[in-house]
Formats: sequence, structure tokens, C-alpha cells
Amino acid sequence: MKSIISLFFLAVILFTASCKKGFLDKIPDGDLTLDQIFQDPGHTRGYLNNVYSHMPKEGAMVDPPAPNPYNGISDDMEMSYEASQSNNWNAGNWNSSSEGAGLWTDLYTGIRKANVFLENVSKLVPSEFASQERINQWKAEATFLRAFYHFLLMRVYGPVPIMDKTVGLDEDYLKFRRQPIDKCVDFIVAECDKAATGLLPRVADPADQGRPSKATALALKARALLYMASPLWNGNPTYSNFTSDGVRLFPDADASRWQTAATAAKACIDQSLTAGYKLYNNNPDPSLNYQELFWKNFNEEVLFAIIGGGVDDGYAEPRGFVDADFGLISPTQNLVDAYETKEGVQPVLGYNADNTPILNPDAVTYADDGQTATATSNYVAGTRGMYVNRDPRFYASIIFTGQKYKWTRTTNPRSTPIQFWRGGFDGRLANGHYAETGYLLKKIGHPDFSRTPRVVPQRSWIFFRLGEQYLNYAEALNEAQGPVGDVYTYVNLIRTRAGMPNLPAGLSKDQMRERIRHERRIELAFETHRFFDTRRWKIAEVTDNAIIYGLDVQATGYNMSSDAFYKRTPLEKRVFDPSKHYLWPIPQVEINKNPKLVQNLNW
Amino acid sequence: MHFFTKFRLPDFVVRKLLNGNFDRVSLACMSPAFLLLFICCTAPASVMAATNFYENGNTYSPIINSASFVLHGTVVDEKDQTLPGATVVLKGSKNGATTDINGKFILEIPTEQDSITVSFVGYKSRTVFVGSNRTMTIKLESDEENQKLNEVQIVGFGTQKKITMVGAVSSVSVKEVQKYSTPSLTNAIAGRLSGVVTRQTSGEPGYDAAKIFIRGLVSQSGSNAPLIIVDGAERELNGYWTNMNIQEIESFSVLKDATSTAVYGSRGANGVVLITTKKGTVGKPKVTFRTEAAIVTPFRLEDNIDGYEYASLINENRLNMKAMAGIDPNLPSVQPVYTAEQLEQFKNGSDPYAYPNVNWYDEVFRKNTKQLTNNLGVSGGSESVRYYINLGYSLLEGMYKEDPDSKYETNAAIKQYNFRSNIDVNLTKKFTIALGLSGIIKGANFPGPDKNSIFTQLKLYSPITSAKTLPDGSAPAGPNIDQRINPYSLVTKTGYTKQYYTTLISNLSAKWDLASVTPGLSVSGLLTYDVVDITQNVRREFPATFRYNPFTKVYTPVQLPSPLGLSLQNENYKTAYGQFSIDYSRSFGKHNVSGTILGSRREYTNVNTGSSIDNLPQRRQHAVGRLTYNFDSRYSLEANAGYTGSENFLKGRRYGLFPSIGAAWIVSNERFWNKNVVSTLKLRGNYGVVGNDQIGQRFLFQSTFNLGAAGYTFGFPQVISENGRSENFIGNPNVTWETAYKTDLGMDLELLNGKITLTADLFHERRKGQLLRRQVVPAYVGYPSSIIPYANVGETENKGIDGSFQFRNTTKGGLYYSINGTFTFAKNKITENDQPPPQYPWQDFRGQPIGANLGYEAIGFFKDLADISSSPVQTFGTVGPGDTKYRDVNGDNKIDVSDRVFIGKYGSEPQMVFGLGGTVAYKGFDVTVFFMGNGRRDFFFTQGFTAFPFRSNEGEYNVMQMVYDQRWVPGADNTNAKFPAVRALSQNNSQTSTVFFRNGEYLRLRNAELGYTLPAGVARKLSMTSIRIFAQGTNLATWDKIKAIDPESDFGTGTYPVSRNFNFGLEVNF
Repeated sequence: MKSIISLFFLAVILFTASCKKGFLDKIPDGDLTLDQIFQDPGHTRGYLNNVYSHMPKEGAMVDPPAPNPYNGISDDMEMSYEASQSNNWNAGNWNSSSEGAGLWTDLYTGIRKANVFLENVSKLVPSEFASQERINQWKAEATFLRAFYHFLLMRVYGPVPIMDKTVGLDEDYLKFRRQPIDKCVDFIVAECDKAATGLLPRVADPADQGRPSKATALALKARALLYMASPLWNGNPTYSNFTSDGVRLFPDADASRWQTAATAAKACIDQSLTAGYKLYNNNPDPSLNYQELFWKNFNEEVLFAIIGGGVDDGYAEPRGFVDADFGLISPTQNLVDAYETKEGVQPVLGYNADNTPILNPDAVTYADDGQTATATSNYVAGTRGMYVNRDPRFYASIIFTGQKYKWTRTTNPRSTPIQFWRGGFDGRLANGHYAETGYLLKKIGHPDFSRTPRVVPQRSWIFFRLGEQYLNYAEALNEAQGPVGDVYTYVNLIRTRAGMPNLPAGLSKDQMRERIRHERRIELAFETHRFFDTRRWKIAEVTDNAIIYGLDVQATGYNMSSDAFYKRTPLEKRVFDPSKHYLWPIPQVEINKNPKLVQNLNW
Repeated sequence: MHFFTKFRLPDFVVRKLLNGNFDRVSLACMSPAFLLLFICCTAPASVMAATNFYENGNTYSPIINSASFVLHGTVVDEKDQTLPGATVVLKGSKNGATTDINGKFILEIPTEQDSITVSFVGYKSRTVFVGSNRTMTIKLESDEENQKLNEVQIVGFGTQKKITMVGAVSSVSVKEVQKYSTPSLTNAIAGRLSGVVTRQTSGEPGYDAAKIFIRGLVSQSGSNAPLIIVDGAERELNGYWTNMNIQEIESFSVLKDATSTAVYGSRGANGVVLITTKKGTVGKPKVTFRTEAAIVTPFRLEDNIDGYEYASLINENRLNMKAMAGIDPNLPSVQPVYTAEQLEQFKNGSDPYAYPNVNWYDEVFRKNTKQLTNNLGVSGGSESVRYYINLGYSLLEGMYKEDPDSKYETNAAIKQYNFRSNIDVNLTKKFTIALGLSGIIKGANFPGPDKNSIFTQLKLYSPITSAKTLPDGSAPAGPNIDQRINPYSLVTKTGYTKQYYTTLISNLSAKWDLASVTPGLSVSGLLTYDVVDITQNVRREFPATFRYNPFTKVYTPVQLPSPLGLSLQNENYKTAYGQFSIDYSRSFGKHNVSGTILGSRREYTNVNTGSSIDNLPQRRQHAVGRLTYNFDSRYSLEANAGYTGSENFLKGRRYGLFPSIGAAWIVSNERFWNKNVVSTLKLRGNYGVVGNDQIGQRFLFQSTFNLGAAGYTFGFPQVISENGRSENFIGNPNVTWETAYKTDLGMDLELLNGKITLTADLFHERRKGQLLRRQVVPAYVGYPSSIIPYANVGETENKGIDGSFQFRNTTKGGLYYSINGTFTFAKNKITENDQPPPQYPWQDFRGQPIGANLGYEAIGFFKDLADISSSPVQTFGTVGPGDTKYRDVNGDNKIDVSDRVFIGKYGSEPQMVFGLGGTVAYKGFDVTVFFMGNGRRDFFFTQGFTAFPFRSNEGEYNVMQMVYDQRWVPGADNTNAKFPAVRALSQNNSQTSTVFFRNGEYLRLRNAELGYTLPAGVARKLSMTSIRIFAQGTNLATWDKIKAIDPESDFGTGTYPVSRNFNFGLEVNF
């Protein structure tokens, strides 16, 4: 009996009280530490990939929360989808609690990851899997990304806190403040210079396409300096008393900033040309050539692009195509009217109170109404006069009624011209989506795209291209020195490539400014520039406070020759309050966390 | 003859059989099946019983000595009330018996010269000479002093004398609980215990357990579930405890305050439920058989409008759209959809395919279903071996209708077998060992899709969406992908699910009395090992569906049939636990001291999980120390502490000490006290610190990396997408358990010699260090919300009062009546939640109860367009007449997020729970009723999503009759409207607002029972000691303010309703 007793208690004691070492130690389970990540070249590379993953997918403009709401808020475009956030902005229906928090959070998350990478990458010992050169290049890439993410914040919010190192949770994370905008730009300039030294002149290995080059870093620098020189940031009187902790966030005006911007743009152009970048000019048809620039991925003009990038051709496909029910990205009549005639004259100068266009008497070849009897490779006979004889970029950028859209694509070509009137092939039906303006976006769409049968060509979204730098340089140089030779040269290079005549000689500085601004609107249409350009030029209170026009897509009984269909029809009167809308509000929840983070004015 | 000796049936049975007077009635009563079961169950028991004969060195002979005889006795108290459980021992031997539920015993008496000794806790023992008596009634005199002094309460890691304990413990009379025909324990105790908040939200067989909280919610972020201890070990075990057979429970107690729970250290803060199971008592085998059958009907299935009303409502929606400002009245979208003629067709059902009108609830649910419960318990034993064996079987059927042509069963049905065997063996006088084994074997059948899909489809399918079946019997296709199959087809034609649940619970314990070392000293040990296995075979298929044109009578196939597939799911958990303790208890004159030192270890493993973190065993080691001191049953002091270590925290921060201290003063034992009116008065108070380590995720101290994080795509023309690496989680080395600081002041009162008892406790708790994801870290620091660390920053305060009372009396005429009640009021408040100070101070969650809702305060409905233009602008889309009008809280003439306020006051769980019941018994009849209810509860229809017609689209989702009847109707007198005008897709009307808010208080007739115990003589003729038949009902009536849906449910819509049961049963004792 005693033995049973002893045995039992022995068992109990063994289980409960024995000092088995580490009973409470967590069993190791393959968890990696930060140090282990940065000792392994594969994991290190993976960490950098994750830094990259915060690149905004600007091709995605429709579904909320869209990484690119900007196009839909610009006067070039309307999103024919009620849930798109741009509709809230355009209605003035947004505040510091409703929009934009995702952008702020996502970019700063990317910035922190870049910081973690930069602070730890030196732990990686060079090996055959990652040479010292490779590591240096990665470092430069992370440096560039960190600068780019800061810039993406600045273009929306203005002055922001600069986060150039990681902040531990035991540190005082409330000590950070928004930095003066010139300090922010200085930071980007310095970081871009640093990155440029570590980056290759041009990405050689096809497997590395999508990584920045030296020219990319210089392009960011040039763009940041151009913004800094522009009226919104450069001595803007609205913000002259806008301070954080007594520090002015916007500096006094300094005209020399234009020269700095011009120099930087020229440096980027020079570096690009040296490295073998050039304007894309491979197709004799200027219209097709301009289109190819956007769908021939990583062509010689592209300084930086993201593969995929959220581009969804389906959102721009007219509903007359099989299974197409999501043609939502609708350019405005305002933009259509902005394209010059083939001769280089702007045909429409504005709108009368009765919504009729103010026609330019100089546009002698332009017929706003009537139909052409002549078909071209772009449109059929019977196409409305206003679509005839325009800038070749118009035909590459916009899908309009009468267009021979996708007539030549390999899969399932179409043989009926586009019909956007109600009841037309591509127009509104009893239900479902439709192009609210009577136009859809063509420029970024791929001609081979087909929903059924499914053909989805590989797409990319361009962040920086050489053409932009030409216009950046011309703009800054005109502001700094007036319409000197280089100003003409670089604008005309762009126009020539587009199949447009040179600018007339003898323009004044102001006239040249208008021409350059107009050229940017056309050349860079839908590349996210218009929204920011109208803001940095401080003209958004005009352009974005205006009536947005489309065609009359609602009434029934039209056909291709109905005059009433082509009547400029007000779609909406957009709301833009110059006292606050030039900058977005810092998300309210962030102000709540750190009240020292001053809110932008009047939010 | 040989057969009987071999199986060693209880000798009275043997005797009956031998004497041939086993009468026909009793044979007829026992159906053959039952007899077989009976024999099988009792056989091993009698083997066990027999061992004592060998142990005592006697030779056992089934042939009864002719000199011996059987004494039939009854033990009663002074008031002639029978005393169940009294011990009867043949003087000078170890043979004895225990009285049954009716106070009766049978004992074999060797000679007429023998005496028997009868004893019972709380009564003075008596020794009686038997003589020539063959039947005797023995009256025991109560020893109230002693009874009170010795009444014992089970507490954490031991027992304590009730009168001197200082903690707040509620316990429920197990007899009360056992009356329920619910197989779920949590439902049986609802309202029965003070300080316990329960709420049943689903009646689905197998998933009908109520939520249970001790003294309400306290933790914002961690678990609020109490610790469940069954027979000494933690046994929540994935629902095991709620599936426990109620009949096998001996005691059910709830530990509420710091002194009772601190010994559980970092597991005690949410309170502890202590359950012990029955053990054998010395005596002849005692058999209890109970069988009952119930008719189960659903309580408040959703009542929706019919097809005619639905179609009219679509037209009404058009009418409401037309009335909006700026709408062109010629737009097709504002024209009526149905003509008067078509509406009429929905009404008269002349063409059920073109104009269907289906009540899907009627098509899917039966009017009632059944439930069977059988239980057989046997207990008995000798001084050296005692046994308790119990077998339970229950069958619960669900309420789903089946397709008579189906190849398989689709209705929910659960067959559950429970068994328990508790054996206690005195190996020597000083050393006892006990083995407890218990298991649940459950086989369940369910329809193929889970309950949520079924109820979602039931909500989604309106009466006019489609016909139930097409004329040729095939399944009609639904209008879109979400509605591709109608609820009837979904339930009956898309397969079935088999679920197998197997649990084995084992306890091996021993106690060694070391009085020889020093009096009062003992050591004990406990080893337990439990396994749970849940396996599910899901067999899904889809029938072919067709679109049918009722005019051309053409069928178009829409979906091809898919064959019966199989998917297997398995969950498997194992738990090992060991505990060793040294106890000391001794009296020195008037000084009584006791102490306990205990150590334990536990390992719990989720064996079959896909997560490597969850797969690691969860371990805890724990030490307890307790000291009690009592002087003269007047002054008590207790100090105790738990010391817990868990692997869940970083080394160096693993152990926590949780001390408590308490005192009690039994005022009524003072010499100055006059006990005539107030027979007992005890005041107690305690304070202590308890922890809660059920904080959700594991290993929060450790940073982890995600090797499959978002990456990037490089390369062209060859595109390469590469994974990223990112922090999955950033560890916080300081993470620890929640700490509760608890104070309890209590009073126990007994009036009129125990006729009235009353207990009340005031409690206060401050729960600090609740684990919350940091909210105040600015986004520019760059931690996304998914990786930001947790920290122990949350704080809540909980305070309230709970109490219970009982009044019982027996009149001289033998009428017994009693009333008892419980009451709980617990009010919690968030004091810190790490929320940055909000822009609008009225939206600060601090100061609000856990689960508070922010929403808009509705101030009526817009009368007309003029009303809209003169009111503040509402920013949730264009509004029209009849739309909800909200209060402009900040007065900026605009209704937006800034105008959200806290709507409702009580948070997500009721602040007040009560139970009230009574029993009247006379002669053989007894009647019991029990009411329970909630007060102070906020009730919201979920976001108004389904409550608001056409929220997602015109013609989608059912519409509740209540909403329909109380809506704003164009052109009608809307002074009593409770819901806005119907307006498809209205953002404005579906905002979280007071429109969807109701007062959730209710009173429920939870249980009523009528029983009749047959006269003892009748029972005896049937060779039984007692027979009781009963009829009872559960959830018989409910008084509330919601009416349309169950006020106890979460949001009222979209789940399996609780049931109303009527059951009839029989309980016999041998």
C-alpha cells in the first residue's frame, strides 16, 4: 500500500513541482528577428520590396479609396461612378474626418519601413547573392523612395513632418512638427542628390525594370523644386501667417527659386540624354506614337514607372464591347474643347452663360457643328465637326462618338463607330453604368484589351518621363529668364513629336506662360499632373470652381447626327473654396493624437 | 440462479426475484430495453459494491440467511418532512444505506437484536433498536447550531465552513437547475445566481449556450468569460462545460470577489464557476431514472410582410421618390412597378410562378420539433469503495423542414451520450484515492450550409423573389449570385454536415491524512487529462436550377448540378493538469486555524491548428497560499494569494502575485445578540488583487515578421512579382495581464429561524492594464494599425450590488411554500481607452459603458419639402418627406459625423438581471414557477441594415411586419410612425440612430413545473422507492417592449431563435 501512495505522489510531484527547466519558456517556432532579416540577402531584398509596396497605384482612379482620386477632381475628368471619392470632393462634401486618412497613414508607413531598411541594411554582409554594389544600390533606392513618399505627402498636404529615422515607441513621438515647406523641399533635394550617386545611370538588367535610375532621382528633385518655385508654396500670401510653434511654414517669395528649378530640370534632362533616354518617337503616325508612349512599357522616355500600377483598362471600355459595363472614366467636354486644332489654334475659349462655347475666330479650320464627309483612320464619315482636324493627341487620348475605336485590335475587332448617345451602342441603357460626359479615357487604355474573350496586356503607370522634364524646364526657365531660346526649344520638341506646329515666335513671358500651361494640360493629360498644376499655379479656384460640361447623354431619340446630342450640357458646378481647398486637411484623428500638428487653414 | 450470482445484482433485487414476488406491474413498467440498460449499468456497479465484502473478509453469499430480514425505513425531521441523504448504518458493522430522495432506506438486518444508527448533517444522530419491526420511521432532531456551523461551501482549492468564510460566493440549488429540459447548463442557471449575468442569443441545437459574465463586463479588450473549474481543474474545454449533463452535477457555485478568486491568480479576475460532480455515498445501490420528452417550438421567428404588401411597398418606394425635390415625375424610375391587377395576383396567388408569395420561414421551419432526455444514475458503496455512475442520453432535433424525397437527412439533430463514473476508494484509513471519468459523445447532423448562410438567405429572399419550387419540382434559380438558390432549396437540397464531438475527461486524485505527523495535516494530489475532438464532415452539393417562364412554360437551365462533395474539418485539444497541496486545519479551543499551500501546472495544446503560434502548448504554473483564522465562530480573517506564471509573457515578467485579505464578523454569535428575530447576521468585507491573462493574442512580447508581406513587381518583359518582408507585429516586452482591484462588502442575514435568508454584496472593481492596441501613436511614426504594439493601458471601473433572498415555510397542515429571488446590478464605465481626445468632446468613450454606441439622435421624420428646407442640412444624400430627421448636436446647421452622440446608456450587456421564483408543495403535488428578466439594456437592430426596407436595393431583403406597420406612409397620418418612409438605398435613413434603438428590458416566465409524487405505497408496490411525474414548460411567456423579436438576442435578426419547450417526464428511484 505504501508503495502505491509513494508512486502516486511521485507522479504528482513530477508533474507539478519538478523544476523542469524552462517549462514556461516559449518553444522556438521559427520566428525571425529584425537582425536575422537583415543578415539574409533574400529577406533584405524582400524588406525593400515591402518598402516599394507603398508606391501609390495611380492607375486606380475609380474604386474608393482610390490611390489616385486626383484625376477625377481635376477639370479634365469626371468619374461616372457614384461611389468614387472624387465626387465628394467635387461637391465640396468632404472634411478632415471623411477623406484622405489612408494616404497619410500609408505613406508614412512606407517612410518608416524605408527608415528601418536604411538603418539596418549595413548589417548585410556582401556575398555572391548581394554584392556591395547591389547593397549600395538598394540603399539608394530606399533613399529615393523615402524622398518620393515625402513628396507625395507634400503635394497634397503642403508642409509635413520630416521622418528621416525610425521612432521607437518609448521615444517622445509627440515632439514632431510640420516642417516649413522649403525645409521639406531641401530635404528632398538632398536625399535625391544622395540617391543619385548610388543609382545606375539606366537600369540595364531587364529583371530590374521598375527600379529608379540616377535620372529618376534628379527628376523628383526637379519636380519638387518646380513646385517650390510655384505660387502655391513660394511666398503665398494666404499662408504668410501660417505657423507651427511660431515657425512660418511657407517662406517669403523668392523669384530665384525658378532658376534653381530650371537648373535642376536641365540637369535631369542632361543626365537622361547621357544615359540614353530620349523622347519616344518610333511611329510615324504622331497619334499612335503618343499612344505607344504609354503602353509600350519602359520605353526610352520612361524615367520611372510601376508595373501594373492599378491600371484597369476595363474602366475605360465603352459598353458596346462584349461584357463591358464599367466604362466610368469620363474626360470632360472642357478638356475636349481645350485641344488645339491641327494648326495649333485653340478653338474654344470658354463658355457663355447659356452654355454655348465661345468660339475662337482665329480657328478658321474648326467647325463646332456639322459633320465631316471624310473618314480618317481615327473616325468615320459623319463624325461631328468638333472632333475633326484636332491635335493628334486628342485622337490618342479620348474616346468620342464616331471614333473607330479598336477597329484594328487582334481579338474581336469592332466595326461600328463609338455611339455615346442614349440608346447608342455605348450610351446609357435603362440601367447600368454609362459615360456621363459622352467621352471615355483612351490615352492610358491598351488597344488590345478585351474583356471577353479575355486579353489583358501587361500595363504600367508612368511617374516620371522625360517629356515632363522638358516642360518643367521650359516653364521654370520662362519664369526665371523669360521666353529665351531654350524655352521655345523644349516646348517645340514636345509639340513636334506630337505632330503639332511650333509655337509662334515673339511670345511675351505671360503669353509663353499660358502656352506652356496649356501644353502641360494636353501633353500630360490624365498623368495626375493637372490636379497639382492647377493648385501650384493657384488657378484651381477658377478651373475647379467651374461648370463641368458633357454631352446630352440623358435624352433619348438621338443618333449620330443629332445636334442636340452634341450640345454642351452642364454636368455639375464644382465646389472649390480657395480659403482652404488648396491644401488637404491633415486627418482629424492625427490632429487629435498630436494637437501640435497644426491643421491647414480653415479646415 | 447462476446468472444472478455471476452478475451480483443488488441483493434486494435478487431477493425479489428469488421470492418470485417481482410483480407484474413493475415488469410491465420496465420496458425490455430499459431492463437491459438497467442490468448492464447496475452490473458493474454491484461488482464494485461487492468488493467491500471481500475487503472485509466476509464471504459473500447471495443466498439470504433466513434469520435476516429487510428493514424498510423512513427518516424524517421534526416536522415529518422526509430527509433524503441520511446515513443509516447497522450498528457494529460497516453495512449501511443512505436514504433516497423521499427519505426512505432499505437495509438488511441480520437479527432482531440489532440496532441501527441514523445520522444526517445538521441533525443529532440517533441509534434505534430494530426489534421485530419490518418498517420504521425514525425522527431526527435538528441540530441547528451544529448544522450551521458545519455547513460547507466549496471554494477555490478546498472547502470552507459557510458560516465563517469571508468571500462572496453564490451557489444554486442543484435540484432547481436540474428541472430544466435544456441540455445547456448556462441556460439552466439563468437568473438563479446573484452576480451572474447570462444572455442566450441562439437556440440552435449544440450552439445554444448562453453568454455568462460574473458581475457584468469589466474588460474592454480581454475576455470577460469566467474561469470554469470542474472537479478541481480548469475545464472550459471548447464548450465541454456547457454540454455537461446537468443530472451529474453535485454543486454549482460562483466565486465573485477578490478573496474567493485571488487564489486563481491571473485567471481569477472574471470570476470563477466551480462545479463538482456527484460522488457515491455509503449504502446499497441507489438508482435514479429520469426520462422526459419535450415539444420544442421556436420563440419569435421573424415575422415578415407577405407578397402583396411587399409589392405594394415597392410601389410606395416609387411614390416616395417622386415626392423628393427636383425629381422629374416622368422619370421611369419613379413610376409604379406593379399595376393594381398585378398586386391583386400577389394577393390571390392565382399564378404562384409569375407572382409568387412565399413565406420562407414557413417553408424552412417546422411548427415544432422534439427533444428527448433520459438519464440513469446509480450510486452506492461501502466505507471503503463508493461509486457514482451516470448515463445520459439526449436527442435534440432542429426545426428545419426536410424534403421528403431527399437522399439524406438535413434537419439538425443531435444525439448526445454522457457518461460519468466517479469512484472513491479508501485504500487505508488514511489514504483515499478517487478516479473520475467522464465523457461526452455527440453525433450531430446539420444542413449543408451553416446557420449563418441559411439565415442570411432567409433575410435576402423576399416573398416575391421566387417560387419555392417550379411546377416540375426542380429548384428555381434566384435573381443574382447572392440569391442563386432560395432558402428552401438551400436547407433541403445542398447537402448535409455531420459533426462528431468526443470528449474524455479524467481525474485521478488522492488524499493522505497525515494526522499521525500532526493532527489536521493532510496532503493531496490531483492529476487530470482531458481531450476534446471535434470532427466535421461537410457534404455540400448544389441542385440544378432553372429559370421558368410562367407564360411560355419554358425552362431554361441556369446552374448545372454539382455532385456531393466532402470537406473534413477537425479540431483537437488536450489538456494536462497536475496539482499538489498541503492542507492543515485544526482547532485550539476557540481558535480555529487552517492553511493551504498548493502548486499546480497546466498545459493546454490546440493540436490541430494551422497556426504555428496557436499550436504551441499554453502553459501555466501556479502556487497558492491561504491562511484562515477564526475565533469562536465570531471573527474570521483570511489572507490568501495566488502566484501565477505564464509562458505568454517575457522572461522576467512571467510571474505575478495576487494577494487578498478579508474579514468577517458573525454578529449574531455575540453574546449580546438576541436570535429570536435575526437568527444570523454576518458582515464581511475583503479587498484584493486578481489578474486576467485571457487577453487574446499570444506572445505579444515578441516581434514577428511576415515573410509573405506585400511585395513589388519588377522586370520587363519578364514580369517578376516578389513577396515582401515586413513586421507582422511589433512586440512589447512589457505586456502583462490585466489587474483587477476588487472590494466587496457583504452581509448575510437569516430571519425567523432560517425561514428567511438574505445575502447582499456591494462591490467595486477597478480593472487596470487592459491590453489595447496603442491608439495615440501618430501615423507619422509609421506603425500601421495592424502591427502597432499592444500595451496595458485600458482601465475600467465596475460597481454594483448583488443579492439573493429566500423565504420558505411549511404550515402545520403540511403545505410547503417558498419564494426565492436573485438580483444583480453591475455598472461598468471605461475610464481609459487610449483614445486621443476626440475633436468633439461628446464623442469620448471614456465615461461610457463597454459597448457604447455612437449614433444620431432621431427627432422625427420630415413632414414635407418645406420641413426639409427649413431644417439643418443632412449630409447623407438627398432626403425627402418621411426621411429621418436628426438632431443638430453642435448647432452648425449641418448634420454630419460631429452630431453623433452616445445613444443608449447601458452598453452591450444588460446592467440588471433578476430572477424570482416560488414553489408550493402539498401532499404529493408540487408547483414551481420561475421568472427571470433584464433591466437596463440597450437594444439595437444591427445598423438598421436589415430592419430598414430596401436598404441595399429596391426589392432586396425581407421587410419585418413591425417595420411595415410602423413606417411613415405618404399621405397618411404619421404621428405614430416609428420608422421612416421606405426609400431604397437611403444612406440617410440607415444611419445608426435612435430609430433602431429599443428598450431591451424584459420579464420572462422562464420555467413552470407541475409535479406529482405517487404515494409511497404505490411506489413500493412497484418495487420502487419513489415515482414522480412532472410536466413543465420553459420560456413560456415574455413581457417586453420589442415584441417582434427576442429581447435576449444580440440584435434580434438573423439567428436561430431560442425555443419554448413543453416537456413531460418521469423520475423513478429504486
